[in-house]
Amino acid sequence: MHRRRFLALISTSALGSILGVACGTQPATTGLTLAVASSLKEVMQALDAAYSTQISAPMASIQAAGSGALAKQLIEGAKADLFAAADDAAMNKVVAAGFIDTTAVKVIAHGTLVVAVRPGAPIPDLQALATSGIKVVMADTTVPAGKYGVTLLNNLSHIYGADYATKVNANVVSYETNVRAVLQKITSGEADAGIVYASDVVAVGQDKVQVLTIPADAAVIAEYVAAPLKASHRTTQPFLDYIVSDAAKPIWAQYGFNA
Amino acid sequence: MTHRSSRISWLALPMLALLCLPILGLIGQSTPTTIWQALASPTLHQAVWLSIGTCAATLGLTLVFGTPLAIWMAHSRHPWLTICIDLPTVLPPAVAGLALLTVFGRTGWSGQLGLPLSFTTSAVIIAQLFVAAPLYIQATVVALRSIDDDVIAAAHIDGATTAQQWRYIIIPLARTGMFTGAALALARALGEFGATALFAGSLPGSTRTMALAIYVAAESDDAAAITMSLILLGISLLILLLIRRLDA
Repeated sequence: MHRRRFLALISTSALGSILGVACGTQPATTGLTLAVASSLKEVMQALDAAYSTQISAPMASIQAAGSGALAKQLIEGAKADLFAAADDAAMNKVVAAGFIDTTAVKVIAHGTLVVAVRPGAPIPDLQALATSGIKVVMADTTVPAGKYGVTLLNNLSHIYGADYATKVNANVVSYETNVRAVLQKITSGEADAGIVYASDVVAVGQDKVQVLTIPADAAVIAEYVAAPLKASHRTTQPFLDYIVSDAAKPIWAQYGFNA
Repeated sequence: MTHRSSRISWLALPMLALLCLPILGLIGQSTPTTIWQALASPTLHQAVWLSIGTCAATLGLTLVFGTPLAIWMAHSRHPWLTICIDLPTVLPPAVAGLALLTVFGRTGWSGQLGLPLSFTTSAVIIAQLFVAAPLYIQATVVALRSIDDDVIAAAHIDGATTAQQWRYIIIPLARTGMFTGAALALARALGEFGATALFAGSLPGSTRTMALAIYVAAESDDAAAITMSLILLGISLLILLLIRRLDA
């Protein structure tokens, strides 16, 4: 008898917890759920903190991952109120799948790419990236930072010679699936240099790497886009308006973005 | 007994569904056309051959260097030794990767001696050895300990040399356990992901094994990701079938 009651107890509580998670209808006292590109994590936290203080609303819950991975999760039915991606490709996938209205997609910020260098590595300038034996890490071309990186190397080939990109590519020891992993390989001292967003360097601490800035005529600008999910019942527009407002500009700047 | 087990069976269903449905889903996602296209991709070939090559090396090194350690452990029965050998198999992969970097990375010991192994194929094999070899060692220790000491003592009295004891008594009795351990280690090595990503990096043809290539492809190319998953699934299935046959 005791055994049956015990079994009934565990099965009902297990069922309860499954249903609780699945139904998960958030009461109005919780904030928005934001699905944001890894590179946007810290700035979104800061923007959300400033915004929620300003209107005394609850803080958002922020899910950060690679743009492509997030797009996949959203298409597979993950719940979020707002999606912020590091490039159009990831956003377009979610639009094409019918989960986001294409007219709702707005550019929220711009970012620049830089070359992060391990302190002490023999890389005084961009030219030195092509020196044989240097260990370069890049993001894989399946993620936005990787695509931007390819463009950047091609642009730099116009300055440092036609074979520059080929030489740098020959030095690549790893193509990482997210841009933070690129930076991790440099801050841990395993690799010498890598192409990352200027904002990533701010996020991990400017003292941990040296930064080589890209000449203006070769610079690659990343465009960050955001849009509300059609399935969301929450009001996202005021928050979207806030993050593109003048009031938010200093926060973007503080985290290494251009709003 | 039958009565009770029929009662319990409906409670068994959720776990059964959880364990089996995702595998069926993976198979259901694929169509012959997408598999055929993905199979033609050179990046897939690179990843498959790299996995096969590194896993073969891992298996060989596990047998050559794991067996002496297992024999030693079977006799020593030191609890701390067992725990040390077991630890790598239960560590989170990221911890394993960071731990390997402290020894074999550029700033680690081998790096300071001028031989950093990070970003090399050797790093892939070391990562696989670190997480997979313990499975073989554990199984071999158990198999060796299960042999009755009296049998060996009797052989000794009857004049069998140490080599003969191994050849005719110990190896035949421990063989099944050792094979099972080796097969488990091989399966684990094939699936190694986290430590490899942190320690070896992800470069096609040199460190991007199937497990890593699947992760990359999952971001963009579903067909390639699913096809490689099915190949891994097939190999794992073969290994598990082999283990079952050995156990039977």
